[in-house]
Amino acid sequence: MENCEIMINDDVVLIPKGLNIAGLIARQNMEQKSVAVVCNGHVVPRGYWQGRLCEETDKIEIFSVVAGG
Amino acid sequence: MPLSDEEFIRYSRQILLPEVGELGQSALKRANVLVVGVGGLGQLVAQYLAAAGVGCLTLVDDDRVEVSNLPRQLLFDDQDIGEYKSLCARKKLMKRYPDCEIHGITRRISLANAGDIIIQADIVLDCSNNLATRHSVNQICVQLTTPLVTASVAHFSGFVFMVDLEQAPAAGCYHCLFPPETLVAQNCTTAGVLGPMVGTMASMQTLMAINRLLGVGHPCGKLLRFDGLTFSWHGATLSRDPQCSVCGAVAQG
Repeated sequence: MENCEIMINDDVVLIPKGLNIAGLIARQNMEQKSVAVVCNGHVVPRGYWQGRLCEETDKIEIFSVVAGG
Repeated sequence: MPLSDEEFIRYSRQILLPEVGELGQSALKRANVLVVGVGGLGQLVAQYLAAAGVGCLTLVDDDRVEVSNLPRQLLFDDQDIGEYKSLCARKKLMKRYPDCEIHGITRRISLANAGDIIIQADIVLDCSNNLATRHSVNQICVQLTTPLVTASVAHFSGFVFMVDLEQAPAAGCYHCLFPPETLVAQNCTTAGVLGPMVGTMASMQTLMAINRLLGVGHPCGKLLRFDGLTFSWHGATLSRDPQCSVCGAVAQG
């Protein structure tokens, strides 16, 4: 399978081409319900995680939610 | 609302800023601000707002002061343990800032009572410590189109952003970013927190709110995240979830 190179939280990562955001989160061993995602400087709402495919040179940030005050 | 001579002297360093001036200081004096949660974030934003000359503050919290709060909740001390945070903060701030009208509410804010509390406010600062409260506050702010500045902190991670359906409808609301099924991995009780982390986020949250009250800067539409270990800020443009059940109808007009 063809790979593509993206950045996840400032690290270069090689992933299979055509992987969607949901698949990427699973691949990072993270729980979908406990993270939020930013792609190339834009927040990606959860409803787009199936449809949005990772592309070469994407800069993706995946981070845990905190609710403390 | 004209400023007195005493107010000109007291707020002179703020009035000196062209973005504030006499008009801006008067706008702060007229402002009615609601602070939800008077813990780490809330007790700091309340001090900043009262000191800056905000005319009316309402503090809501059903928690009482505990000894484990004191390393980061600097408004409180050992003598306050067991007192309601909202009433204790009110008492202390009224003594320090007698020109600020301060109300304390000791009920927990919920969907049932949030409307009556929020409708009085020009802007809301969510400083609460749980997702359920955050969702209730967001929902009512969206319904009333009251601007909401929401901040959160735990471990070495902090978030702050504004929900403003009037000025930034494309940015959506709290529900778009963190839907209710969201699992919160970290809060201050489970993950711990340092006082200066809370202080950093409370400062940003207050600055955003003051910008909005003054009508200056560009505080809307972006999510700011702070990492207190790498000392980096991450900004991202907020996007509305077209399927959002909370702000969908409002944002589409």
